[in-house]
Amino acid sequence: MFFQKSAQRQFEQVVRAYSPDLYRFAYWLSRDRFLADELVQETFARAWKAWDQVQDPSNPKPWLISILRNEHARLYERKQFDYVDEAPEELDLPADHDAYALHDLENLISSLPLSLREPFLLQALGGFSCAEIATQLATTEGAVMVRLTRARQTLQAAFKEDSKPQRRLAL
Amino acid sequence: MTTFSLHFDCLQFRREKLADPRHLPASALAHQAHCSLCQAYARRIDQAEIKITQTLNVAIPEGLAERAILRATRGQKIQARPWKSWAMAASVLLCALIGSSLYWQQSTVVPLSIAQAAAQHMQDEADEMAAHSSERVERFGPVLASFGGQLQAPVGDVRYIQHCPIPGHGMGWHIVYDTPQGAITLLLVNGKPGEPDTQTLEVQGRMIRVQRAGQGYYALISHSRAGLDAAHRDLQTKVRWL
Repeated sequence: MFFQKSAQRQFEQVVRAYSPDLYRFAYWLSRDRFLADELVQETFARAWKAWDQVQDPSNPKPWLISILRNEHARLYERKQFDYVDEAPEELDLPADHDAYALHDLENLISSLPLSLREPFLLQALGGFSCAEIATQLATTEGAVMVRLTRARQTLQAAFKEDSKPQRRLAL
Repeated sequence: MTTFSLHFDCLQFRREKLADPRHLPASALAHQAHCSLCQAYARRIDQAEIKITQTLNVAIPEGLAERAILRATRGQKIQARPWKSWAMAASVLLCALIGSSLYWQQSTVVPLSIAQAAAQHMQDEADEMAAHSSERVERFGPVLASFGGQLQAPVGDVRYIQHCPIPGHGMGWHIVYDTPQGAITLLLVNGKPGEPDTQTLEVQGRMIRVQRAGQGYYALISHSRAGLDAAHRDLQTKVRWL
């Protein structure tokens, strides 16, 4: 009983500490608020059922992320892409405090294919290194670097397109 | 230095910077220290990363952790102890009592319509709005799009967006924008079977119009009938629902 309560206290601390990160990861993965909420709840429900299996209680984030990814994958069929490592180019940025640019950037990130978006989110939101992402995605570190480069190149190309005069969507 | 003078180290640096801007190896950092072109490139990438981080940092729904804890632990099975079989019997009896009590309560509860839920939420939210920061108002377009609405023209100055619990209807979007007729509240709510397609009523001094649209219903709330009618006409012409 004591251990049960202790485990629950520890679990609750983990939920409070990691639910924001997991929610943001789920949101950008699914691009759906309601689904992200549901994914986070389901992730923690599964985590609690297998709480005695957590390998590193001091850093459960990779484990939680992998549960969430599995839950998300159950909902969506994964697509495979061929990747080409292209030469990087200069990056034009949207002006600071430009509401349209932020809006467009959200759309851009959302429109990245899952195969690029997922490692990008693991890095940008999860703070994982390329090696850690490679472990999460069961691929090589080199492949992850290519995907991350490709993701930023996609954003870069869109930034360049975005800097051209065009009709904007009003808020 | 011009772009044609880029040598391998610069290209290598840019690859490393694009792949993992925050964890550059020592060799890349050493190159950056003495290459002004790559320093400028790194600055631009770092600025982009700040922008990306701001964009990714979406607001967290209220009570998410509590809901997750409740859902995870509510179904938890407690190991029965042989020496506490009496406790099991007591638990069964207690469950039966609670169950019958809940059943009695539920049988007397009338489900809230969306309009009533909207009014209830407005009342609950009155104090909360000041306490909780809004999502960035630039998210109005994407939020509307996620609900199946395509913005064709500005509806007004959006000043508040929050993902909120709507009584009896799960989570919904609470948006406030200013129009020439005054502040208008727009709620985007999931629908339930049996709800009327459209409904207008006055609750606690607020005029509320509910309309089926997109992935559920929207509720427009104004302090006056004229303001509500104007806002509804405006919304119908400026948002295309898919």
